Amino acid sequence: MKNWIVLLLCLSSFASASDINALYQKGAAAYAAKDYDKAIKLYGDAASELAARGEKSFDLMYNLGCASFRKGDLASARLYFEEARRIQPLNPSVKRNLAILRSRLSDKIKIPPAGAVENAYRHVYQSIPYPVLEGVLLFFWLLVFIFTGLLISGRFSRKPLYYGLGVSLIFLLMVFGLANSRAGELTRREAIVFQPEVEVFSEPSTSSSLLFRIHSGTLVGLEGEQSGFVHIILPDGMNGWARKQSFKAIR
Amino acid sequence: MAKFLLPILLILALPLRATEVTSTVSANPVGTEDTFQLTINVDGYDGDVEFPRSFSIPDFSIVAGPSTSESTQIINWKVSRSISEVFTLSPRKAGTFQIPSFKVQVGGKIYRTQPISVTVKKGSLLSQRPSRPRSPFDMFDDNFFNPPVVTQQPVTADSLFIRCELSKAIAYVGEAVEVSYRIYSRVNIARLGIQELPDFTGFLTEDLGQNHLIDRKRMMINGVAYNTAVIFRKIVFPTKTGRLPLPQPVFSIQVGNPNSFFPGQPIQRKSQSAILMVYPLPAPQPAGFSGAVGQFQLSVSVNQDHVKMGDSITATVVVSGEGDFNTIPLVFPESIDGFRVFRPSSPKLEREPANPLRGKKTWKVILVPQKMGTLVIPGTKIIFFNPVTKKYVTRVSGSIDVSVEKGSATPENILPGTSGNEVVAVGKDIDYIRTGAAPDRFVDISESTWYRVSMAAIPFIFILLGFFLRWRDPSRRDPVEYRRSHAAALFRNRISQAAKFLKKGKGRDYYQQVSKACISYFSDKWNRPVLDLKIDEIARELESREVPPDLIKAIVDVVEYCDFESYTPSNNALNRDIMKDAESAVSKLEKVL
Repeated sequence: MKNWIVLLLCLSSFASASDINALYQKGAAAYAAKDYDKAIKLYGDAASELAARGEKSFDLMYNLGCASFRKGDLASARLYFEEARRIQPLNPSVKRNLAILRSRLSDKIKIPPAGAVENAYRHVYQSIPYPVLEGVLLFFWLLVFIFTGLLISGRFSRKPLYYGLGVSLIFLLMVFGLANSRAGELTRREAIVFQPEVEVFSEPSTSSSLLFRIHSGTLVGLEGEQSGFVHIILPDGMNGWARKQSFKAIR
Repeated sequence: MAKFLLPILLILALPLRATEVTSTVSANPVGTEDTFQLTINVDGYDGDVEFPRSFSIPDFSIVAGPSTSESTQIINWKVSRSISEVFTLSPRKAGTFQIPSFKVQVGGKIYRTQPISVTVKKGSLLSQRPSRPRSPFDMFDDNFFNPPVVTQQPVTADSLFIRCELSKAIAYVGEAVEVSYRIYSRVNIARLGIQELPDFTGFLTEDLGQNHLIDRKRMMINGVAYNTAVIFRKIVFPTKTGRLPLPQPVFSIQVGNPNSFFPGQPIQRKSQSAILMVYPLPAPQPAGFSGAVGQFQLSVSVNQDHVKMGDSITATVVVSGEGDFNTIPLVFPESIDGFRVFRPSSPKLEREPANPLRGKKTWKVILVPQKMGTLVIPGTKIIFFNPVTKKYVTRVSGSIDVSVEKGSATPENILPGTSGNEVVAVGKDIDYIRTGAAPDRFVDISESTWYRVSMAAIPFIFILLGFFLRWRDPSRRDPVEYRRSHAAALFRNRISQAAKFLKKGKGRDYYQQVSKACISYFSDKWNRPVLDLKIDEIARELESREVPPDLIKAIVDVVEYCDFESYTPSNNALNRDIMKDAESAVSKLEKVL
């Protein structure tokens, strides 16, 4: 009986995977036929299926971004491209598409340039796939405690064990730093403006001073939330409070 | 007493207003050239308010907004708030239209506004804004807060309007037409701005540098003098045929004295409509026609016609005239016999400031002769449609002879191969979607239970395993074997004790501890009682085990020195090196024994 249940579970999992693949292929056909609404619907369904399993897909997010862009919905396109960029930050297609999309937005926000060391460090952790970083972190964590256990046992020569422990600890700290930076990027609280114009105030109230206005498609960082307002910060450092309903968060 | 209480009780008995959601317009009817405000208002709300998000209203354009305003009242000691969102709308055409009902969520409950029927008439009906009502507290009526400049210059539809002016009313597909939005005013203007950049559907456009108050002049219309200026202009190229309407952008204008501290109330003006009649290009189109429409001249020249082999010459191709220069490609041969051709990456386009439709487009082509003699740069041609003569025209340039003499370069050392061109980007678009049988999968394994359990369990598992192995260590069960195998570790423990004595300055204890550590090392190693071991005996035993004599001497020296110092205390400083000598000797013995 147990075996049957396992078999059924496996079969249902395969069936679901083939559904996602079929949606993905139909979405591509709809996009090629310039039926962008249908493509968005199909890709969106496939992405929802994956999300239900706790998974994401760069391909689906990227394609959703392209279809939304073609439809003229720049805010949605920005949202999907930014979600795709979180999965593959160095993907050249996403970079190119985001550059073109940004050139069509009304808000031009200057991003302060980063230093050479910061850029090099970012390039290192972005070029290693996140699951690989997590796997390597687990490996060095394991190695550190294997050496610790062997040292505690007192059965083996201590000198090589101390060396092994030291080297493992150094690598563990390095990989932890990289994985932590990458995890920070993946979980960064950011959102896209989804209203034609959003007014940003100095306090979480519309009766406070109006600081500036931002427009549809602009990327903002989210700092805090209070009584229906969110504290937003722009890449150039300008910040203030705006209505929460004007934004969609990047997941 | 009752006289005082009655009004208070009456005030307290006033009912609180229930939540009310309404939509209103600032004017009805309105003109096609007017803008007006649509306000969605929520009165007496409690909880979060969610206004409708992105929406469109048929027959109206949203030119600004939403802007939000909020107010709070206290009635019966209870706070009642109202909030509203204001949109600025502009009618698209004349007629009677309905602004639909909007859904507003207040405290989790859905409310709907009533639809509004708006009558739109041609022209402008909202020509004059009502002036600010006089304040009842303005006893002196000195007009200080209502400057006379506004009241003395009533802004009517005739006193301030914007016209869309075309350089020609009829054009062919692809023909360049200058579109200028000119303001006509009989009032002072303090400030001027455009609400939203217009969308030129059906046209390709080219920006012109200066877009503020150019070509200022005084003009008479029906005997009335106006100050006029072009406030926004573009060159447009129609891409389809028929009657193409030009966009009617909305400008925000602040009427008043620009030098005054009170520049007056802001008003909005929509440009008057304009239509461009566009005809198709006549068929058949000649071969080589690139779509250029206008009147052009072509010239090709070289900077020198006598060169040495290997020296470069510059050929300049100039297309001048009036029309759409963007559709004119470089009409220069890609390869010429005897020359290596370096085509430029981009041309230089210069427009005449007075007439931006006129200009010239210049390419610089570098030619390097690869053989001697008289080489010929062949003539070239452009084909375009002339909208004045309504005919396709071909302009031809003559061939140019270049005399090439022997120079420092020879045909052998000039790089061989065909001439190449730089790849030039002619358009920008997003990359294509990703295709394939299946999408990729991204799983954050750090979120998975097994990963977290592994990270948490690994320290416990291996530390406990270490203790278990230590507990099961057979050498620890046999004290003799344990002492033998851990003799060096036990020696180090004793030496660390000696180091503490050294730190405290206890010389006698220090030397005794170092000596004891050395003797105890051999006691542990050979399972002999410490009291039975003398240094002479240790030396003999080491000799019998073929330990190198210098090593034996080293350990013997350490023990004898320590014994001597511990029994004959002196005032000299403690010998720190003896401890290091002992450690070094034991470390070497550990490898031998």
